[in-house]
Amino acid sequence: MAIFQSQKSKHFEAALTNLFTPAGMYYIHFADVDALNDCFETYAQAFISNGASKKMAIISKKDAGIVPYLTVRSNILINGQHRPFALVPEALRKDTLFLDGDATQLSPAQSLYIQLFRGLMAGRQFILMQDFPENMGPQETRLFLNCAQEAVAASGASLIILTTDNGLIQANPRTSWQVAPNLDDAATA
Amino acid sequence: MRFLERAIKALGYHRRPYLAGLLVSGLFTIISMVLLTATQLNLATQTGFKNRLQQFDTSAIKSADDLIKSVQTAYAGVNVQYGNWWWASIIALAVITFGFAIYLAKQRQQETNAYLLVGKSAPDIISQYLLEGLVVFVVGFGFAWIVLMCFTQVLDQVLVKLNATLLDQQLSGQVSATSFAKLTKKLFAHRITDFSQDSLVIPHRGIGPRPETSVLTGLSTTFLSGICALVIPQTLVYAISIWRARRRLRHH
Repeated sequence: MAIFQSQKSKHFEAALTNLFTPAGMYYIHFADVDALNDCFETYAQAFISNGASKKMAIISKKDAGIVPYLTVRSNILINGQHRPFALVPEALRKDTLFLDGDATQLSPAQSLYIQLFRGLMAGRQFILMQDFPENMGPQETRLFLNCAQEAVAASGASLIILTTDNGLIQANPRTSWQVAPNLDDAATA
Repeated sequence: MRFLERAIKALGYHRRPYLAGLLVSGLFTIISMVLLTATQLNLATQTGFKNRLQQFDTSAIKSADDLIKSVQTAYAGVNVQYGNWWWASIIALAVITFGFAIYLAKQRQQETNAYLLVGKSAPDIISQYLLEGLVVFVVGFGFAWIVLMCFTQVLDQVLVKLNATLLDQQLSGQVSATSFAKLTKKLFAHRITDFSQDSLVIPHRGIGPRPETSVLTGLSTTFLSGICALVIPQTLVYAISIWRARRRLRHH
């Protein structure tokens, strides 16, 4: 059973490497939100069932997993600090009022940043993101993407964004999919 | 370090229920230590009774055999009574903790989900929640102990009265007041003792040497039993709550 499990994990890791390396931003397009949510859950489950949950972090719209009584900084470092804090953009790093305040009443965009840097600080290699919050404007989205691009490039991690925004797919043809790849079959693809 | 920070911050965040927990912990400590001290007092009184009997000769003791047996049974009865009350207080604490943990687990559902989502293990989450409970218990225990220490004189008087009342109750079930009086009178007839008839069973009642003021006992027993009554139900409730939260997260 242990050997079988190990082979299964190796096969899954190979699939991830095949699909999401080199480190950077990857986009997967969905026609509707339901299909996106289903795939998000399937991908998250695939990581867990293949024993790779420690390699992955998720950025969820519904369950941000932010502990309200901890400061924003403590939430970012909740799983330890395996990468330098300098990965966090300077503007955020210097905003000590926000960083050392309780993580309550956060805007969806703020929650997005916390989840991203929490995953990176925890040393996770793959970060799975469930699209952008509905009320996030194009400028805010661009700002987040630029910031995430820099952070993942500097940390050697990959951010996999599941999105209904076809514009992102067209803007990144080499690192995007119109149809979500099957993680379990991708090792040999 | 982060673990401790989480526990300390959570204590502040859930201060209302934990304040109630503090009161319950303090109350339990007082009840348990009072009962354990009372047991000690009763045992000391019983030993004193045996020593007092030595001032009578063998023939007098033989003739008062029924009386002595009744008194010994009464002492044992009071001991059992204190023991039962003590166990009841432990069970009450465990039951209250169980209900309290169910309430808190529901209150903390979102928080538990958050910890699970960031990849914290069930033992890690349970340990944090238990640590919070233990901190509350230790503080409540400490306060209660200080309060008891401040009132040892009063406590001694109360316990002496309580012990006497319970012994009377137990004795009245064994032997009637008139025959008890008759039997003691017979025992004391033509005997010189350093105590009066009234202080044969309860030394504080009549004339004669009195035992020393009872020292507060049961500190470690109260502490350890309190921790057991807290840890076992809380671990059970939190483990089930986390198992359910994990299932919900996997299937939603």
